[in-house]
Amino acid sequence: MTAFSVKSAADKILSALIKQSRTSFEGVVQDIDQHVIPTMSLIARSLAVIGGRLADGTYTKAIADVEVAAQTDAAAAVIVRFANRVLKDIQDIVNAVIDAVKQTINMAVGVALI
Amino acid sequence: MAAAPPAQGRNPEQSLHHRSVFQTVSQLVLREQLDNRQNQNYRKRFLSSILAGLLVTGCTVQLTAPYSNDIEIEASALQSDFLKFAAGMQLVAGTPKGYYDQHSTQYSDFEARLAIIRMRSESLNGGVPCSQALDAAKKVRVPIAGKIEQSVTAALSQPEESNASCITILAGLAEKNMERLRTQHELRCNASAKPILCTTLFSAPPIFSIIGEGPSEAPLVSAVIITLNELVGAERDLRPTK
Repeated sequence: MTAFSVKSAADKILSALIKQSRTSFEGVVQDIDQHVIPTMSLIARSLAVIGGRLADGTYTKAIADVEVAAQTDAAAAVIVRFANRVLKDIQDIVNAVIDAVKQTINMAVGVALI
Repeated sequence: MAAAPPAQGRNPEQSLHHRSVFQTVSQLVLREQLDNRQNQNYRKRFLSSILAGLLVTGCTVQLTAPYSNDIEIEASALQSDFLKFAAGMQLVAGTPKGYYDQHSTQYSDFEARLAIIRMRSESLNGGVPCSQALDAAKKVRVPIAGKIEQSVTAALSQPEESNASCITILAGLAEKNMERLRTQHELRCNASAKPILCTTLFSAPPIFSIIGEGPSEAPLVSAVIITLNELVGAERDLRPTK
């Protein structure tokens, strides 16, 4: 069995944590720019169209209410998906760290202990 | 260490193994409490052994609902069929061929498929409830403005939704928007309604005008497309990373 260095093991685990966090949260930032904001802007435009049609008499108040509620639920769906995405990223980070701990310990003891 | 199961819940043998290991750990905890007063070093060694024990059992963290290939395929097919339906409706909206009674069976099909997706999602165990993720988002001040927050809160306030996964919530939101479109189609596309009410429901071709960068002339269809897209995307986001 090779000598176990706590510092070296901690460095390897930290490195895995940083690498996985960077990859995951880069994806989240990209998701906000490329998906969340454009979708929210589509919803904002739809709301403006509904307002215009209500103003010019094309829509009744009842129709406008239903269409606005649909836009609100669409925006909620964007938020829920985003929360789901963040949860998945946190899950990936934690599991990458657990995997790094496993590999570090196995390498240190020289056998597949974990 | 075993990877998290990709779909359809956990392996029963693995769960059994985990349970027996956790029982052993619990017994050790009780024994440790009895001997607790012996010395601090013993406690440190013991806690380390628990940590090692958890690692040895193949412990992975499962925060989201497990990925389901069935749900992804079904939701994706539904999204595609709905887009084809909406594109077809653009060609006939405002004419008798666009009347609701000519298309009511399509809605039955879409709504039944959404119900199946929702039921499948509800049957998958694992992960934390979506409400906890959203609460955490509020605590870190991720902006969830006014009505959107109300909508999310309303979606989660149904008793059956309080422990629901994000996928189940998304399927529910898609169901609500699909039902809104169905009722509006019924009210606005018939012989006694003004044709403009039907043409403003579906707008004119091409379908890209609804989902692309331009002004969305069919807000309700656009809302259905967005909720379906979020459902498909959220399931795709859960695909295990290689």
